[in-house]
Amino acid sequence: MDVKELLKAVRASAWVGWQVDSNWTEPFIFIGIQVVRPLASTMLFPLLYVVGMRLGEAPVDLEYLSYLIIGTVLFTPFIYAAETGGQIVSQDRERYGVMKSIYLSKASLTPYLFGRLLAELGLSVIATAASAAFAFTAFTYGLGLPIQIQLTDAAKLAVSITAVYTGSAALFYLLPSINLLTNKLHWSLTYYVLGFLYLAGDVLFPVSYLNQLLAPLEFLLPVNQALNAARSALGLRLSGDPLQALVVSAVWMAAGLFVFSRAVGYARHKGLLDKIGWW
Amino acid sequence: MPASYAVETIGLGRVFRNRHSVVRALENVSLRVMRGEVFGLLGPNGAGKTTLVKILTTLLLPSSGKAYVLGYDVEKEANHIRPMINLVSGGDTPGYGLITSRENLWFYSQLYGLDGRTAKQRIEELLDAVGLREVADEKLRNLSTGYRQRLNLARGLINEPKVLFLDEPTIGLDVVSARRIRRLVKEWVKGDGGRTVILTSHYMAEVEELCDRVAVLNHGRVLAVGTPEELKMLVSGKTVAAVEAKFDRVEEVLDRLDAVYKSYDPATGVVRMRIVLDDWSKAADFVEKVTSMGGKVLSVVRSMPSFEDVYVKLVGGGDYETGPDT
Amino acid sequence: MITRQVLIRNLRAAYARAYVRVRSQFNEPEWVVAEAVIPLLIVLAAATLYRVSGSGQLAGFAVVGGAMMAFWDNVLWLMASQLYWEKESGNLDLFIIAPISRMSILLGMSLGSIINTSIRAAIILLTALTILKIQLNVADPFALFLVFALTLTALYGLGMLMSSLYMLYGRGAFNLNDVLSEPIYLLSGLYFPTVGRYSPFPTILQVLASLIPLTFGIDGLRRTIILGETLESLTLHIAVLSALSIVLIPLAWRTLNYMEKLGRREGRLSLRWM
Repeated sequence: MDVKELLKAVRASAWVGWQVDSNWTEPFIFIGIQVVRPLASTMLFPLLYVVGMRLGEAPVDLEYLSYLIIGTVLFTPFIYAAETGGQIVSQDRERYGVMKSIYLSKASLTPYLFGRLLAELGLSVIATAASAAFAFTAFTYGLGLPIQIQLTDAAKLAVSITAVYTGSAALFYLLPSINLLTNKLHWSLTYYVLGFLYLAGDVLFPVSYLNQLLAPLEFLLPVNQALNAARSALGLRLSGDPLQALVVSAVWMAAGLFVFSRAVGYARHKGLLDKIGWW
Repeated sequence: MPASYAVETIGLGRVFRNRHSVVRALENVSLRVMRGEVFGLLGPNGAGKTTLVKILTTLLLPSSGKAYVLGYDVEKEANHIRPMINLVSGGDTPGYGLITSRENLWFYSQLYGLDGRTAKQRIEELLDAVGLREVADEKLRNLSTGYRQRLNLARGLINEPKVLFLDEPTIGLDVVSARRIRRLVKEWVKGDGGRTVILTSHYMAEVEELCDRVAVLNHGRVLAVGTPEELKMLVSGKTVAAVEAKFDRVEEVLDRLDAVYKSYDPATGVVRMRIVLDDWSKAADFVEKVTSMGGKVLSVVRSMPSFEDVYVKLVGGGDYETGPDT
Repeated sequence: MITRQVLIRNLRAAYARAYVRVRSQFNEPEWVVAEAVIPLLIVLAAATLYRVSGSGQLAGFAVVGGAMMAFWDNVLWLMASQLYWEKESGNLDLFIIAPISRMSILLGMSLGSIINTSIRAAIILLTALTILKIQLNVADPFALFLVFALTLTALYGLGMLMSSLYMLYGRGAFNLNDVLSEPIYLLSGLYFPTVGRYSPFPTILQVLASLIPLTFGIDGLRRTIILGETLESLTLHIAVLSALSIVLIPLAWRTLNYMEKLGRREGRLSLRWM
């Protein structure tokens, strides 16, 4: 397949992803899902921290608050990738019945998934930007807690955010790989993964706080380094190497693509590409 | 309020309004169905059959006219009607996938207030009657389409309805399963005097086999009512010409042929037509018409009219079908 | 007039629907596991955040919130959307033509859901308390029971109302679930109080939050389970939850009747052109 055809397939898939996932034809639902909901996710844990401090009559550590906000804001692309990636197989295979047709097409599933990923990441940009703006305004001006961020290194931030999106792209290929082989996890897998990443992904606290034995996860998961590098680029006193983060995310992305292609091959071998039901 | 009719409609009408259009699904429909009858509603898609069934089963209110089921007004006395009817819609498989056939039947029995012993007895009888004994304890989601439709029928019989509405009960089923459903319906009707069935269907053979009387509907109106034999009299003394032809521009031509049953096989390019004629001598006129439209006639065969021809005569040729001739 | 026969028939229908719900759940043990483990992960994250930030004594708040999250998710996914799925499968028509009140179906769904979710919530609670080594402080078990019962009554009353409203909203109503999950977690104070002195929200938001049964329900449960408060300090909670129950359940009944009349009159079950 030549590059032009490939790009056409990716473009068409991205368009389908936008149509299916954005709900742009229903403005209330669009704003609800793409703005209000990510905003609520972003605000939940920072507010938990602030209220906890108030209840304990202790001062709010503004740097830690900023740590939390950056973590929850930049976790948004991972949430988007996991939610759609976790359900795409079940939707396309069972609900819409398109999976086998896409598989049999010249482009097949990998470019299709890439197009869907682009649509999802595009939507996440809206959500992330809206959440960031709202969180900054609400805490700084609403609650009188000025967020301690200062762009110290734009290039570092750009690389960190690239690492965030590359890491979330890995999820977008890994989760469907599992769901191709079993239909029983089509709704729960996403939330197992997101729950685990909330605990171990340096989103709310360094993973080493859970247990020192888990500290190596900071360098192994595609989330931790990327978030810490972004925090460092925004002036927080943290070590975070964006290039290291990018390498880790790229390795995960490569692993995701590899696992996906093997999963597709296995699914074909076992006749799972159009198998519906609970199995 | 006692009634000798199972169902009676008087000038029944139903209009659907949406943002862009007004649809008259039923217009001035007056019918009477006797108790103990199997009454068929025949018509193409959009004829109003399902709308009529929905009104009679109290799912929908009429826009005009009146309808009575077992003497009760569908509009004002729905609560009297509901214990005595049931509805089986083909193509639907209502029920809960994670529980067994037996449990599903038990659930529906409770919607009709059956006590434990009665429910159990009836369920066992129905499982045997519809041939679900071997899958009685299988979860619904694991059942094939044929079994699900049998379960659907059993569900429809759970409350021993006095009037059973069957809305295309064999749609999508293979020949064997469809035959089985028809046999079950026939046995059920025979079982107790006064059991009435209202059956909607596309399938002529099914209607001819099961129904005591048939109403043919199109565009919301009743075109004819009678026994299958009475309706066939509409074409008795007539003859049917079955013509095969090829055309250069098939679509243009087919839309211009009225009152003719047509099917087109794209693989061979052959159009097969059936037309009811008063007299075999008129066949030549029809052949000439086909030729003047650019058709090359391949064969002309004479045959006796069937119930299908009655339908076509009443309803019109309608849209042509494409695909290999079956 | 409701006769004894009609009452019994409706109670049978409610029991049957509750049975189906409970039975279906236990026929899929994977669901029980997933619906306990997933909230547990978030509970652990929230509780750890309290501890990491120096508010370890409040970690129990996260546990109570996580247990109650199971109920909200159940109301959204298995109550609010349920009539929509019943319509898609053809069951809704059968409920309408059956000689029962549709409220008995909703009642059955609620009871079945409460049983299932209580088991799930208990698993989350006990597991989280064990892992996090949190001590409970229940000084007034009657107050705890009363708050819990009223919270569930009001919450499932809301669920019944939502199931009819979703039908009226029409196609795409289940998208509302995505809109309503996280915002309600935040507004209702799943993990921290959102009404009262320590709330981070302005008054108007606190008033809106009070209309969600979860808000005062969870706050009341936090106070009785973690903070050891007694009935005297919960009069506002009990009053609000009682008022919500008294309003929501009849409102659900009326909305359901309206939806059914709309369906019979207009031939559609939603207010929007499909």
